[in-house]
Amino acid sequence: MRLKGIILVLIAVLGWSCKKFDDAKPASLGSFIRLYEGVVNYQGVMSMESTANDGYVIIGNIQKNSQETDVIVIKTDLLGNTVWQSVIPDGTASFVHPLDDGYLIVGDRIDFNPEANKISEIVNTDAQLVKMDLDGNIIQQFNIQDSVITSTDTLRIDYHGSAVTTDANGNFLLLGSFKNPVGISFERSFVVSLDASFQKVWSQSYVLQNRDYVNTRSIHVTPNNNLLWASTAFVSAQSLSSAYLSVLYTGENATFKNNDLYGENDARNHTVAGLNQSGFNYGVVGTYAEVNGQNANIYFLLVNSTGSIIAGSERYFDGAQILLTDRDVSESQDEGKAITGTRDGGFVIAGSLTSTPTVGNGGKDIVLIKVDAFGNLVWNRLIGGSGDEDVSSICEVSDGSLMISGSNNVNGLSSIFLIKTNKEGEIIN
Amino acid sequence: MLVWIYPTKKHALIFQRTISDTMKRILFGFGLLLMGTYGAVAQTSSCAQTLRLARSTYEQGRLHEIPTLLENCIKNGFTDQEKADALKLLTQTYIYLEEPEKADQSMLNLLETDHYFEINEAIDPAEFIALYRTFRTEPIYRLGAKVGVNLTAPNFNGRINVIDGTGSYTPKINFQTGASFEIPFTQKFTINPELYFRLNSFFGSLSTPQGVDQENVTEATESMRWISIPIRMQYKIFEKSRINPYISAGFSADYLLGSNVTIDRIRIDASPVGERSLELTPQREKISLNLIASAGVKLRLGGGFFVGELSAFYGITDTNSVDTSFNNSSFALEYGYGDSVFKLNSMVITIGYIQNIFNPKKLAPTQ
Repeated sequence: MRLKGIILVLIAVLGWSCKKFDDAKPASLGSFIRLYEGVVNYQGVMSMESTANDGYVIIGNIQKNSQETDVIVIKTDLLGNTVWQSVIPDGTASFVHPLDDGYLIVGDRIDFNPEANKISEIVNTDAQLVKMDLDGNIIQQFNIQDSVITSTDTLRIDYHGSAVTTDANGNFLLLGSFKNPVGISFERSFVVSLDASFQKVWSQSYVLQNRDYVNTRSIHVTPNNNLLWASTAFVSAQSLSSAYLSVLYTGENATFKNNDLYGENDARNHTVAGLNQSGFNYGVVGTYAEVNGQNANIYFLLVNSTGSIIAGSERYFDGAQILLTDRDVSESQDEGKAITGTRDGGFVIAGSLTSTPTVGNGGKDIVLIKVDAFGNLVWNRLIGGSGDEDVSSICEVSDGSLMISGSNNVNGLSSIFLIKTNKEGEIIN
Repeated sequence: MLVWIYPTKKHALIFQRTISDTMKRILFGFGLLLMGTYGAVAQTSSCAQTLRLARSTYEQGRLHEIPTLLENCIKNGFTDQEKADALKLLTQTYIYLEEPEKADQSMLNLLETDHYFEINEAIDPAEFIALYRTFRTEPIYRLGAKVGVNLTAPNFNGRINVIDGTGSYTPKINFQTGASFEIPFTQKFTINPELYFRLNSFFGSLSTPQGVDQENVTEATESMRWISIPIRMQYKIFEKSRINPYISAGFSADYLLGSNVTIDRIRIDASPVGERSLELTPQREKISLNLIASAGVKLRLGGGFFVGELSAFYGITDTNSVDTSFNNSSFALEYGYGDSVFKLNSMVITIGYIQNIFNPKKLAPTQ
């Protein structure tokens, strides 16, 4: 009897001592990988740290079907656990800007009209600025919508929202682009100033002759209260394209003060993906490739606070070889996708590398490249699995870590990823 | 007579003689065998008679005759039991002849002949009992082998979620085998070190809801191979018992030989990710420490014991750490699996046999 009692006690103690997975306390992590998924494709667009430093906000697109998307906004805690998520229907997201009392989300509102008489009217987009409170409730919304009337039709002008920032007066500056559906027309950039109640203060548009403006997803107010952003000046014909970097520097409610160009005379293309500040200068990242998109490398250069490209600052990177002396050499297909400034005055570039037999983990991987304030290489990292990890944003958070987001496609279904690394770009704790 | 075809008559004649000689040799050997057996039987029967005669001689008090009488049969002729009886008689003889050294040697021979010899306090003379108690009669150690099964589950103390969802872990049955060593140092207490090769495995499942009654599921089975060195202190519950129940407690130090995981992710309305086996050894700690509590029984069998034991192993050191949680990013990016920090707990049932090893000797006199 005594022995039986002892055995029962042993079993009971052991059963009690095994802590279930969901009851266990969360591990204290400085670095992590998080995924956010659904039954359809989720595409990650951007992530930022909240102003309260209590977590992160992520925006992405939910591909409902081949034509329609919704915007998803996810608020997480410091470990990436979902606190809440909200859906903005019928739209795409491009930018998120945290505020003390909520979040600004920039993107497009999409009207899908499959029965439209004209092809240009099947999909109509408005530039959209949405303000959510800290709990994810939509409290304000601003759309830019316009039409052009022809002799026979009323045609919608497609507006796109790119980015937003706040000026010294507390007004919101919304960057976007639009294209007139009538005649031979090119994509123009615009900036709209809105007050706190989303009333228009002023607006300006910027046109480039015979080329489209494809904006980066950022706009900056310089120390002297001028505006700075970057665009790709782009034209395509069949499967070939011509693109170069255009840095736009304007006053508020004014035209260009400066419009420096890079690569305009090159035989190959320079498309730009990001521009961000570190110290006194701004770093630019993009993709340098042949006109058919092949032999693509990542490029980086510096722009000063008056919008001038700093000569000699340009650098070219290949995912396999990293820093290139010959920018036309390409062992792997790479794209420069995003850039962030770091507290030491340097920059971290996030790009995509398409794996080769000798480099990469399969599919697309994330390549991180750290350069100092002068563009000199400091370190580089490769992160990825056998699927396609397509990075879309990178930022430095308050503890010096790096926050990277994008889309992770595994066997045909994509999810949003959020990766937090240490300041050296490593996922270690 | 066999008829053979030979080249000459001379060859046939030689062969005929060869057969005859061989038959004679066989018959002679058989005869010797019969005589030896008869001799052995005769001797055995004779030694049994000798033992009876020795007892009778002892009863008559003619103690001087006992050693000579038993000498040859002790060397060869007694069965084990008869030899033990004879040596007991001889020991008693030497005691009464006041020859202590010979009495000691005789007692030693008795204990070496029958390791399990026990005195009968109701019958045996007091001097003989007193002499017996001056000798080490317990086994100095026991050596044996055990096999068993274990049921292992992780005990989480640092949860890592890659995808929001609920996780559950199920222990799996696996086996272990090894050597067992026991060192009795009092009547009640025995030290029990062991050496095992052990397999542990457990199954984990992470479900992420995707609407009503729909979920994506990641399933993984981790399998680990260890060299385990448990060391326990046994306590015999009852002195006199047929089953010799005991309890024990101690700790084990385990060395990880390797660990791998087989993992897959099944998704609603999408292709599964595809099953893979991933090596986890670089993400696991090489050394694991556990506390152990056990209960068991020992059934006397031959020269040792059949042992059955139930043990609980409680991990006190982590099997992994957050430092290496994301070393293999495929884990997280493809399967949504986070390498949460855990210890291992196991329930183990073992059976085996341990052999008593004796080395009787005269104990040093206590001060």
